[in-house]
This record gives sequence, structure tokens and C-alpha cells, in this order.
Amino acid sequence: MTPKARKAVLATHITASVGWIGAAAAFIVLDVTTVTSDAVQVLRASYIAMGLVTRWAIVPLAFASFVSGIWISLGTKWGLFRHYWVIVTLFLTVAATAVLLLQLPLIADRAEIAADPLSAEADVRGLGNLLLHSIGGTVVLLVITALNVYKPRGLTQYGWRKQQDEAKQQDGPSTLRP
Amino acid sequence: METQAGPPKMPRWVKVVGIIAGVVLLIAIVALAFGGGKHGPGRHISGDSTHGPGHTPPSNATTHHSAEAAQTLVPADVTIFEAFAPYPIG
Repeated sequence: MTPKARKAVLATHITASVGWIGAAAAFIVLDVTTVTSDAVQVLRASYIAMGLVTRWAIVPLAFASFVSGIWISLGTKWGLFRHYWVIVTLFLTVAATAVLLLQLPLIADRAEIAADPLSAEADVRGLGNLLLHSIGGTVVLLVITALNVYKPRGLTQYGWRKQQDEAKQQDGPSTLRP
Repeated sequence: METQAGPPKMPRWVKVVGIIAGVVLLIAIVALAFGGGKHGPGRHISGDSTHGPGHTPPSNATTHHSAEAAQTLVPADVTIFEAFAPYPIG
């Protein structure tokens, strides 16, 4: 990957990842509102907004972060399986995205019920919250961010073998010189 | 990048993260097995409705009128996501 392309993918990855956290924070605000508010109109608005934020912000940003993350890792010296922090980041991203996709129908259903003018107030009040998932998911995203910033040491066996191969290749030409 | 004489061992922080992830996964499985059987909005909805789940008939004429007025804003067969969708939803 050329330096310009690498910077473009890195900028995309940072934007998508940080945007994912921002969208998750917006979701938590709405989620907390469904717990704290007693006004049914506020509840309806919150559930509708949660559905829209999830579908049009959180899910696209999650996929953009996932794809750009794989792209940037394969295009740089870090690789995808050479360092433990990259593997843990990948695992946590896949887990967070999977849980998000599993919750998507539930969030959409709640938004539909809240948007339906014929749904009863009691039904809207009884829709519940997703605080465990939204706060837990955001904590996971913050852990991923910390891993990406601090890049803790730890070379995998595959990474170590690759490093040895690269070192041999670099030493090779010099030993052949007369 | 670090250079080592022999194959590296797994760092302690990876083991800690792995244990935490395993515990969280175990809790999630136990929660799903013993308490998450009905994990959907249907569990919150009253079943005594003539309009199906989530639709409770209005109690008086005023409510009925406002509900009909609200329905005219967005057709009944258009979901909220379709109403706001920037492109068609499959």
C-alpha cells in the first residue's frame, strides 16, 4: 500500500471507529431517557430515534470500522495475526458487531411499536431498555480504542516467524556480496 | 518491533483479556439459557387487542379521531424506517 493510500484508509478507520463510539454515546442518551422519562411522547421519540441512530449510524460505522481495520492492518507492518493487540482488537470488533446485529431486530421492533399511533401507552411504557448492551458495547469500543493507541507488546508465534523470515531476507543479499 | 531469540510467550495482558472475555461469554450464555428465552418486544405487549400485538383499541371518540389524524401523516403500510429511509430497504 502506498503511503497516500495508507493515510486515507487510516483516516477512514479512525473516523469510522470514533464515530461508532459517538453514535453509541447518542444511543445511550436515548436509552437512559427511556428509563428516566415518564412522558409517553418522549418515550416514543426516544425509541424511534434509537432505531434510526442504530440503522443509519451505528451499523454503517461498525462495518466501515471493521473493513477499514482489516484493510489497514493487512497493508502495514502490523499485519492481522502478527501482534496480539491486533488479534484482540479484531475479536472484540467482530463480537461487538455480532451483538449489535443480533439486537437490530429488537431495536427496530421497538421503534415500530413506538411509531405506531395505535399502540397503547402501556405497551410503549413496557418496551424496556438496552442499557446493558449499549453501555457494555461502548466499554468494549473504548477498550479497542485503548489497544489501538497504546499497542501493548506481544508478538504471536506467526508474527515471530514472519519477523525471522524478513530478517533472513534482509541479511541474505549482504552475505552473498563478495 | 521486538526481536527475540526464541518463539515468544503469550503476554499476561492477553491472558487477562481472554479470561474476562470467557467469563462475560459464560454469563451471557447462562443469562440466555435461564432468563432470555423471550427476548423481544412481544413480551412487553398486551395480548388483548383487536388490532393484534401492540395495537390497543382507543377508549373514546377523541382518541380515535387523533389516532386517525396521526395515521394520515404517514400511511399505515409505510414503516417508520421506510418513511425516513434515504434509499429503499430490502
